[in-house]
Amino acid sequence: MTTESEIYTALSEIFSDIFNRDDIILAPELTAADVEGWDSFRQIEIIIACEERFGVKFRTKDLDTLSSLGRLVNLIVEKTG
Amino acid sequence: MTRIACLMTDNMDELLLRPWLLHHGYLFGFESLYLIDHDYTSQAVQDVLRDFAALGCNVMSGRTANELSNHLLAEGGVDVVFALPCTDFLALLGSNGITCSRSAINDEVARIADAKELVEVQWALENWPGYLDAFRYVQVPFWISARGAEVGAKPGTTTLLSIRLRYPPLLAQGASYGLLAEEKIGATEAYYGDQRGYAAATLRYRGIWRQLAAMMDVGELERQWQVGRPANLLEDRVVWDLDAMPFSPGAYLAANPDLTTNSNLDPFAHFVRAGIFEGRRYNVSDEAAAKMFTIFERLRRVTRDGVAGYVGLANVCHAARCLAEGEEVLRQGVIQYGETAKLVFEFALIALYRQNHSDSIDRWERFIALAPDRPEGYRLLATTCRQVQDFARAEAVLGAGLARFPNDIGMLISRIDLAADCADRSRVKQLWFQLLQKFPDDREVRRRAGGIATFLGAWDQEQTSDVKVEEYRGPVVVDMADHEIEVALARLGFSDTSEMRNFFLQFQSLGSSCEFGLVQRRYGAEPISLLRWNSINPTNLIRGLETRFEALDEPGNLDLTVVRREFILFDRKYSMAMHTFTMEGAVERDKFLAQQVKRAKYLCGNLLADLEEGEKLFVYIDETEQPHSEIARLGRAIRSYGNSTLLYVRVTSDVAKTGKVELGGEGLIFGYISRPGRLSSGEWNIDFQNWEAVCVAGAKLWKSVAHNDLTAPPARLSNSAAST
Repeated sequence: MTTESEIYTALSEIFSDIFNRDDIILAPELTAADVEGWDSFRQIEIIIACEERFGVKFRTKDLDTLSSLGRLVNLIVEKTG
Repeated sequence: MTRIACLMTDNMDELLLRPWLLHHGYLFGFESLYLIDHDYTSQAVQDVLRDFAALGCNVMSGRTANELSNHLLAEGGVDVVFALPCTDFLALLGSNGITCSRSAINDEVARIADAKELVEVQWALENWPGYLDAFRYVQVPFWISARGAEVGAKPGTTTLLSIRLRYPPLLAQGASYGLLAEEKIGATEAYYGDQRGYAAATLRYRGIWRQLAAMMDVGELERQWQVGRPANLLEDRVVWDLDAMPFSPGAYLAANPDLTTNSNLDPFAHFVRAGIFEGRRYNVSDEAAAKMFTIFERLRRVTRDGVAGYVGLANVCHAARCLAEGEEVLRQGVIQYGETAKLVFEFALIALYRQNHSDSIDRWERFIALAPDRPEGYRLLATTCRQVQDFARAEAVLGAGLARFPNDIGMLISRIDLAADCADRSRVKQLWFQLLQKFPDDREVRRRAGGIATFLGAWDQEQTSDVKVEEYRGPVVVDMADHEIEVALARLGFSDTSEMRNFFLQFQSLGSSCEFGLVQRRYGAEPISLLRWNSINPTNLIRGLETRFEALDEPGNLDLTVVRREFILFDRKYSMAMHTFTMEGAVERDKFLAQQVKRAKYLCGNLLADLEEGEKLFVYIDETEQPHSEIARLGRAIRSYGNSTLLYVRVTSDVAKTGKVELGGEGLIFGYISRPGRLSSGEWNIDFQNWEAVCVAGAKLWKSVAHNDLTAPPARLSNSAAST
């Protein structure tokens, strides 16, 4: 099982790679609207990176419910648990 | 005063003969009209000839048009002579548009006489089958000769043209239109698909018919063709249902006496064949399609040529827009008779029509191997490669073809088109002048001159003008204002926007266009899926589903192309075009392509998983009036994954149906909206409330029937009573 803390650390690297920025503060309430350039295309990049990094598979139904970063982290916890 | 002789050459159609005589008699006087009576057996034709002879028309026997024309100019005291078939009505393209003005036409004919010219009338405005008031320019040249014209001189030009009536049923439809003295046709009224300007081959032209239609026996036309008047004159097409087309062999034989002299021709087969040429369609129901096949089984027996039978049947399927069936017919033909050049040619062509480009390319290559002495194989292979934007391959094919057929004008022109595709202006120019130099008098080369010149001119304008080419402005905004959200929530019965969003997330678009993606956006749903911002036709969608979109991410299959400054991800195998919403120049191309390929592969996997899970209602919008058989096939392709259901949405002018749904078969629900989501100008014009109703009713029906219990409602859409 991966802990939330480990997930945030990994996500920090993923976001840094995808957005080319190191200043995004990852928090559970963070949403796409808070980060410039976080559109549906970036979203897919994030998802693919998460799948590769954590060895999980998201279903479309999961993606539909991704309203915030906290929700993504919870999903990863559920799937790696 | 100019003495004019207007000859009618042929086609003494009994419905058109009288209006032709009235129209041209009005223009030039009945004594200027010359008709050659080829011993027509039709009593109606004989009656008209007799009536008009009494009015002064010259009705003659035993003459040919050429011989009569030469005679009239040499010895008949005639200044100008020309010949027109019964289907063509002389008109003039004046500075204010097309006119049938007597004085304007006579002035132009007098000018030709004074100039002692031989002029070529190059164009006719021909009906566009299926559209009530649409015409297209077609090249149907005829000559106007003036007495004293220099033999061998370069032909002069004229503003005269003809209106060609190729589609008699339209005349009945057009009866209520008015032929105005002058009607302006501007560039903005010329359409070809979504294009405007020089490329426009179709003209929508209102109001041309009053004068002509008033002279026709409209009642007879209506009786004969049983035309229903669609509610929407601009967009609806006329559809004839074979079942509603009574056929009496006895009456048909009586109306077509030539049939009785040809014992090999089955009257019904003749009727159907004639119908195809006239644009009747038989694809409105499975029963009609089945009947069509029965007819052509008979045709095949009548023609006694196996290969020709298969090819003929496939052509009929094509005319009926049953392309899948046509392809299957040809496949069976190949099994039966082997790969003959004729069958393989048609097999490749129908794949091209179906936009099944990869199969088409394979078959063109096969055709070239089978018939190396036929240049059309190279031409069409190059065309197919151009359609999938494989320009390098098209260039190679044309290079190989031209090495073998250096003077094939079609291929030389295709090479120019290819250069235009690649926006290589200097090459277009170079190849064009080479072609002009080589074939200065060729009709096809001259026909293309305007288009090429305009292409070069338009390019110049684009490069030098201050007016910028339209920039891509990002995704369309369809969001609702706050008060609209309140109203929508109340209308739909949702307590908050989250509930509304989740409702619209139940659906997944299967492409066709971005319309449903925009519908979802309006209600706050932004699902991530392969086909939401994707354009794919039904044939390729079926193929993709049947093959699980195999090889989608194969190297070279996906590529980026630029449309209105936006990168579009183009797939060669299934001819999908996917928005990226990313502007050219904003990203590094190769890196971006690699990302897009990865993304497409990922989303494809998700789509297939969703299809297997059956927890989404898949939506496809019919933009091309697919036959029922094709829709059923799409439904089966979806059903092959599991218990998924297809909501197949069609446009209807039947107000009783709009916003409603009905069962269409196992895993298939039909939904109806009132109008296409996009105007011909390309702007969105979505009827959101209609979509709301369809989605609500569709979801309700989907859930009210257990997925695996969606069995066999009435096969025929029109008979279904399962409306919700």
